[in-house]
Amino acid sequence: METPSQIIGRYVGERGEIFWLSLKTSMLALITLGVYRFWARTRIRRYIWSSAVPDGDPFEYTGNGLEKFLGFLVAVVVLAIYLGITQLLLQVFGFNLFGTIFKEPTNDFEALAQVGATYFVLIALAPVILFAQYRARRYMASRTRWRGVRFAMDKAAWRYVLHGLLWLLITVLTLGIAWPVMSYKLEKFMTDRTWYGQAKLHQGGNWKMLFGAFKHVYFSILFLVGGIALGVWAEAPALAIISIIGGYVYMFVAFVYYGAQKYNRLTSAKVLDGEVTFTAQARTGRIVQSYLAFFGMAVLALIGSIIALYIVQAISGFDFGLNNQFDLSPVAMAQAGVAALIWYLLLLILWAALSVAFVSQPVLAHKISETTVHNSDHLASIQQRDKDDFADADGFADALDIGGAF
Amino acid sequence: MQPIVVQASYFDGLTAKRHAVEVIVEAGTGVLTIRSGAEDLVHWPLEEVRRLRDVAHNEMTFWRKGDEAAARLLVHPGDASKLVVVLPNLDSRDMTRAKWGKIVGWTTGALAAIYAMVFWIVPALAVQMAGFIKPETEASIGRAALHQIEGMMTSDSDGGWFCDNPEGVQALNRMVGRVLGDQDIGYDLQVRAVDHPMLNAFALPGGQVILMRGLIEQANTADQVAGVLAHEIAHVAHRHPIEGALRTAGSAGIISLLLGDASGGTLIAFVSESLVNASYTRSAEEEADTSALKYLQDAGVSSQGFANFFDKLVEEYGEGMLPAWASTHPPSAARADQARAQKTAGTTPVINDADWQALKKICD
Repeated sequence: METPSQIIGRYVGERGEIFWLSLKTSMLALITLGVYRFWARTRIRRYIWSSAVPDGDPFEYTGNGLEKFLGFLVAVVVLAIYLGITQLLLQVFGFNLFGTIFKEPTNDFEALAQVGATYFVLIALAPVILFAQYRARRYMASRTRWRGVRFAMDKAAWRYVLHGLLWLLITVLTLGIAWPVMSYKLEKFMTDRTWYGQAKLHQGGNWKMLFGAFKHVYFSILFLVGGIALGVWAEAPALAIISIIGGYVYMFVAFVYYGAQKYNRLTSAKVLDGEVTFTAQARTGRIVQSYLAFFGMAVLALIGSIIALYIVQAISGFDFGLNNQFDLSPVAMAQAGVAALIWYLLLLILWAALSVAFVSQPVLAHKISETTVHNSDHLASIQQRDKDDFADADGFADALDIGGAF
Repeated sequence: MQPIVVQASYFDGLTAKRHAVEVIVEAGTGVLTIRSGAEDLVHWPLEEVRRLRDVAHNEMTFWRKGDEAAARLLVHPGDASKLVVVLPNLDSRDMTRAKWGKIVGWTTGALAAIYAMVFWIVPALAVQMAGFIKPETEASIGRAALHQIEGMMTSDSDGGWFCDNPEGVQALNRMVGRVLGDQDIGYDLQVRAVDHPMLNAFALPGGQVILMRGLIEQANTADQVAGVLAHEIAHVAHRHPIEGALRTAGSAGIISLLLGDASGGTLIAFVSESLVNASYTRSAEEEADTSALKYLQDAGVSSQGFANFFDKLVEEYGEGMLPAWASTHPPSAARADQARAQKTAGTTPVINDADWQALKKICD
């Protein structure tokens, strides 16, 4: 009897290489006042995609910086018009609505509510963010290839917006309890519209399947709220403080657990072309380790950058105001301000590179290595599909800064 | 010369099947032949072969320029180094003039659209929409804003900073009455002094004007205070505070959302937001100055005090380090000259000396 064919995922990207690539491209982005960031992101994606080599054949990212840049410009113009007008109208609406509810702020709560009215304008963002999410994923699918065959997604961004708004509303009305259902529904919406060549991907499973993955998030919230309530009721501040610290640590692990379990459950319920199936077994512990390593490195980077500042001051004789004998003349203040800004931007770039090298890439690598493709021989029969061109690329996601790690 | 022959994986861009192939480059032919068994699958002209960049795997991936079918050739590193020497344009970027034209054209178009949005459409819309805000709503927005300002400038926000010395308040009201005359500015004007050492005054939505103690204390004459008061009343009459709030809601979001990211973009966003704001504020200040001078003239109050107040600002703070186009206020010396140019014949002090002495003690 023939053994069923399978492919075990493999990821070959290296920490040092992605770190330097990220650092180098971010520096170029800084020097070009942000313009290079489209090319920077493209190069990072090329590296990450090419690191995934199931069965020895690498994935390929075919997007380019130019189309991303032009897509960003298209998105900028559309968003400027949309946001300029809606934010202004909602501000008027918010003022009229809340201004009449609270005639005169008599206490801090009412004053806070009136400030809240000014944040009312953020509602205009929800549909654009959903739109941008779908377009960005469709763009990335269309720019992804494996064994020369293209991925793709159907044109359904507007339906995704309606779908997403509906589920957001349900999630808000249920005070967040429906969050895992929303996650499942939105993922199913996208997966069911995804293609590899002429083969369609299908998301199996059901709306209840992510509750188990989300359980620790519920528990951590109960732990946090319950602990604080008990501490207040028993007048034991120590108990409340321990609950807060413990609750946040628990909640962090709970979200990592959710991320890993969500990936495992959803991936294991996906079917390609009715023939090819998957299993995934990502582990929470491994991902938590990555985060801990990153936190450690981020703190080291901060300390190192402060030491570097002292060294530069000692060598150049330039006063950054570190010695508490600060010259308060406007010129000295301006110089110190510029120096502080440069220091801050460089530290941000360093942190971003560390975050890619210690979290984003290792977590992705772990997920891929723990994923198995079953009945993989069927893949060889899958036919190519046509190119999918669109003018805005993932410009909306870039403009709204919701691109995610890569 | 010996032909180059290496083993490779070939993906024809038609299906996801991997073909084990031989790659052959014979000297003088100028083409790379991909052969499976005895059959030649394709011939690629050497100068059209490109390779993928920024890849993590050790193998090299080759492709052919302009190939819509997207065939790929995956070659082991040792074998790839043999091929590289005969492929002249591996890393060619193929940037054409059309691509540069596209970049320049789209960038210009986008910048023009944003400029129109931020400088014309949003301000015009703010003026229109300000009319849809009910007066009582505007008043409560102004009170909430004042509440916040008090919280920021003093330790408390309980309204305890208002100066309420009865004779001082009376004197202030007489000054307001004189400057305003019988003009209708569209609001129930409410002018109050607050106990704060800053040399400043401001107008809020809903017709509120606030004078700070530092301003009254550092003025040499009542006419100087009257000049500033006329200026703030002019802001109220022109609806600058509420229009400014709406305009900021419309334009601030655009700039920070679209330019803000964790690198150089943050810098441009910050600088351009400041410049946009400066340009609006400067034109509003000029408008308020012009109206203030007219109020003073109609009230028969000398604008000399207003001029002296600007001289005082120059003396106190200098002309500032920023050039005029980047500053929120027009240059003070120029404003002083404008105020000085107005005729002073037939004018009288805005309030009598007893009232002026009372006003100075409004915060006691």
